[in-house]
Amino acid sequence: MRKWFSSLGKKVGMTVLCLTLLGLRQMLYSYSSPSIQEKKDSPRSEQKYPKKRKSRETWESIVSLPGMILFLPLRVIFLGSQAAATFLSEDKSLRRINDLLNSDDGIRSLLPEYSEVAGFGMVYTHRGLITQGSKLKARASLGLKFRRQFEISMQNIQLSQTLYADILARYRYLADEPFYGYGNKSNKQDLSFFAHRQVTVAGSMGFHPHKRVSLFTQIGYESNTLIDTENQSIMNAQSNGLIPFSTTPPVSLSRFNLAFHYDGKNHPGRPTAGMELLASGAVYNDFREDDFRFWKASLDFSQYVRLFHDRILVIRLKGELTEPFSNKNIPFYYLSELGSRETVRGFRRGRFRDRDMILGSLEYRYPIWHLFDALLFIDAGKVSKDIFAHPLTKELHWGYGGGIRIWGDKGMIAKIEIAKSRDGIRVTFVLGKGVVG
Amino acid sequence: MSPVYTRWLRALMLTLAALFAMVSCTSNSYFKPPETIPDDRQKIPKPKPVKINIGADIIDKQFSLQLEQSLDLSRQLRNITGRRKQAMNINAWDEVPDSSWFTNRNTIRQMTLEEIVRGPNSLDGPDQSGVWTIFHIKEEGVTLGFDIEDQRGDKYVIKFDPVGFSEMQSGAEIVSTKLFYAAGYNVPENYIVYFDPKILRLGENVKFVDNMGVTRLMNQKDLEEILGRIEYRSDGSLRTTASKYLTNQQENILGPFRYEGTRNDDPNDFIPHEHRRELRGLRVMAVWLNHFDTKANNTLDYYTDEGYVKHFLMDFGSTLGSNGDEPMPPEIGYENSFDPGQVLINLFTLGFYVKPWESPKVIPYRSIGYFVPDNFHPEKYKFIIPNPAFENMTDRDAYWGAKLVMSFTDDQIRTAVAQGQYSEPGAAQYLAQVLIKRRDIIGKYWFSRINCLDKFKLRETAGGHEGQQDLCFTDMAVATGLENLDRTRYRYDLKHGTTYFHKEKTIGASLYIPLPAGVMKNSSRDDIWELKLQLRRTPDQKWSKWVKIFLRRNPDSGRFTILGISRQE
Repeated sequence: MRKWFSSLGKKVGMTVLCLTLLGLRQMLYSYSSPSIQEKKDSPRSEQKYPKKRKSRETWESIVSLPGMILFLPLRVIFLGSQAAATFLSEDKSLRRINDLLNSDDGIRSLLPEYSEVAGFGMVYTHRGLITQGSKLKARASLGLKFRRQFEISMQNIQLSQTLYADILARYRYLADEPFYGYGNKSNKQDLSFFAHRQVTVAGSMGFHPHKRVSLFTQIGYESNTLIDTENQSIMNAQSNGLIPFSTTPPVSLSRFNLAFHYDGKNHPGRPTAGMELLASGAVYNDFREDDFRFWKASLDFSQYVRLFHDRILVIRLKGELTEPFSNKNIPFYYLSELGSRETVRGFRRGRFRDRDMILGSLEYRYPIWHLFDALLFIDAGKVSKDIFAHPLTKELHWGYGGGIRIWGDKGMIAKIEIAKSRDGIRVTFVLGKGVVG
Repeated sequence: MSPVYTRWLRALMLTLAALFAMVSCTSNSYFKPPETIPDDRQKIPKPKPVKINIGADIIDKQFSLQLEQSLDLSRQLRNITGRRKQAMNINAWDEVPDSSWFTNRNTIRQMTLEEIVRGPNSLDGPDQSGVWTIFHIKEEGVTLGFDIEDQRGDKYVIKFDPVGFSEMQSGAEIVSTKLFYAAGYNVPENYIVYFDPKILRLGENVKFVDNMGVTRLMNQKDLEEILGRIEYRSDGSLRTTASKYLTNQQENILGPFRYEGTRNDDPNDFIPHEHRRELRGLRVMAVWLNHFDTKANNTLDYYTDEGYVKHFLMDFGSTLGSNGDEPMPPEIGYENSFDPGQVLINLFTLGFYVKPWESPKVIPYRSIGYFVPDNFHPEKYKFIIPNPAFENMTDRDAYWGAKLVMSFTDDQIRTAVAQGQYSEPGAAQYLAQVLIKRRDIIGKYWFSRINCLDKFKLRETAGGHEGQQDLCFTDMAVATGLENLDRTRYRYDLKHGTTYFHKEKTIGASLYIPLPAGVMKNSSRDDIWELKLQLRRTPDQKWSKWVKIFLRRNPDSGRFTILGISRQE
């Protein structure tokens, strides 16, 4: 948190410095230019004109002096901001670059994005390359400690009126993945890190029987390598038999996925009514060493309830089961996780890991300005080896907080949240795609 | 507390008390004739054109200016003492003399309906007997349009209505043009024109930004594609607003004027714009017509053939119920485009504060857009960005602005609305009705904030002594039908030097006061009399603020003349 603020402080400081310099330049320009101009061809020299009246009388100028001195530094910054705004809107090279990358007809676009996993990046989209509705997407992201992700995908290749196909290839290197141990009672103090390299290739086939309903199946290959095999915490967990896995060779998994998606939201960016349901089941198989074989099933349900005048309550329930087939294991990074902005906000991603997970969330959204909504939320969830062995409401982890989200016609543009849990306060920021809408 | 601090504190208190006294003593208890306003239409060398960047203007008005005003102690002191800075271009009658900014029209002489119909127009619109050559594509603003030249060589900007809201933008443009013109402001000649699109010809070297984001020369196919996005009438013609160029000499267009400060290179521009009465009072007119987009870029200065700068208001497509390319959003008038205060209120009230504009709204007529009289509070209306002139508006400025609004009769409003040529049944009646209702709300509010007795003049007393005079006046609220004369009571003090001739003398429902007759001995050339007038509408009401009329009596003839007036804020 402190680090985050310190880095933010530096950025803000740099921006203010730049704006101050611009402002000083603007001030010098505005004070010098007219007087030079006036001396050169002042109309006053030729004819008698009325005396210009002052906005302030002398006593007003004297009384206002302290306030104006106080305001001077801010005035310089504002002048700098104005100069920057003028430059940005009138400089043609910037506009040309923007025009080149983002065409008015929506065929090409280059947009920034930020996610907790991959960091800051850019997504280039080219529409209509193979079929009319298809999208070629190239994504590159870079985060702290050189975590990086490169992805290329061809989405929505229309095969018939209701059939479409997607292809995806992704490489990612997650340099500092957190590991707190195993189970619902893992301790914050046990935090250690590992590096995870993953290569994914997948192809999927979708079926749209209705504009709100889609069924799709996906076949994929995932290669996982843990770089830091000497991680003591992971080694301990392994030696204690808590995590049955081998870290040395890459784990190559084939995946077969089947999913059903119903999107009944009335607006993609700011839903005020309707529901969304995603049910999926996947089978993973280690086709090299035959150590791992497991299945995963999840159900994610969101209901949007309009309370009054665009004040919305979002009710979300999610459950996930991860079970091994007989005598086989699950790589710990494929276990169900709790923590992060998509589950219990206020906990770090991967804070709790186990086979099963449940989550409940209430989020109240209210408009504060045009495309800006404020939100208050409370999340609760837990992980367990067998979620049905104990009452669902026992040993829940709680998180609550608030934030601001910016929405657009096509989806959410950005979101910043501050969440509190027993681990402390966490600030998360998301830009672009990838946020539960 | 240490003695040093005590001494400082005392000094500070004394300074503040002195300032308070200084501000408070600028009272109107004696007559001080305002400075004569020189004519601002003298010949000057042509000033240089200016550009105002919208983004920079927003930063300046929304943030910089707001903070600067909050830290301006003299301004705060004036606000606390209720002595706000008055406009600098007013005459002894508290009125605005004609200038390059404003011409008194409907307030001094009720314009005929024919004059309302004609408005600023000198022609009947672009010449349709020949082709219209497109020489520029309108890229600014939100509405689609072209710049054309007709057979006569006159240039116009033509703009089209948004699809689905036929007549909305064009109607608003024309109706507001007529009303702003009649009120006294300089506006361009705007026409509604129905034309055959076949007369449009693409000129040479017309550049535009295509769908791929590339700036290139426009061809016939591009023009057809653009025309395909416009809603045609059933007879195949197009309806458009044609706004005539102020001058065909492009070099005489000087760009927008700011609502604060003056132009350095225009010696005629000697009064800071934020202290011009017609710009401060424009707020009331703009509120009436829902002209929320009153930023500097919707104004234009041009250098006339006579050699001075004339100042125009432009672009009324986003007035009344139209927001140019869509109906007016319901929050317009309630919030600035970015309103930090409102955002904070919304944030901290957790959504439980429901704003009046949030309840579901119905657009009664598609050709009118969203324009309703409900929840209309003229004093709370907010504009796209804070306007420095509007922020300096005093009650006296507002009263002057309200007089402009109230000068329009129902017939004049209906006539102006009829120029919008609305074909939707009931739309014109509805718009006129809303404008009449909003006019009356404005009148009721501002006429009750200040003494609304006006139009003072002297007449010979009927049946009185020779040379005896009456001071006649008009109760603006009664004259405009907002209040009833029968239940209104007036009272006055008549003072000569320090001697009261009459004190708190109440008169009934009569709109004149007899002045003393005869020649007084020992009267001097500076024989100044002060008549203080107040009113109340009901017996249980407090007497209103005063208006003082200063009179001079000729020592030889004993006849009075009016020197000027002073109105209490």
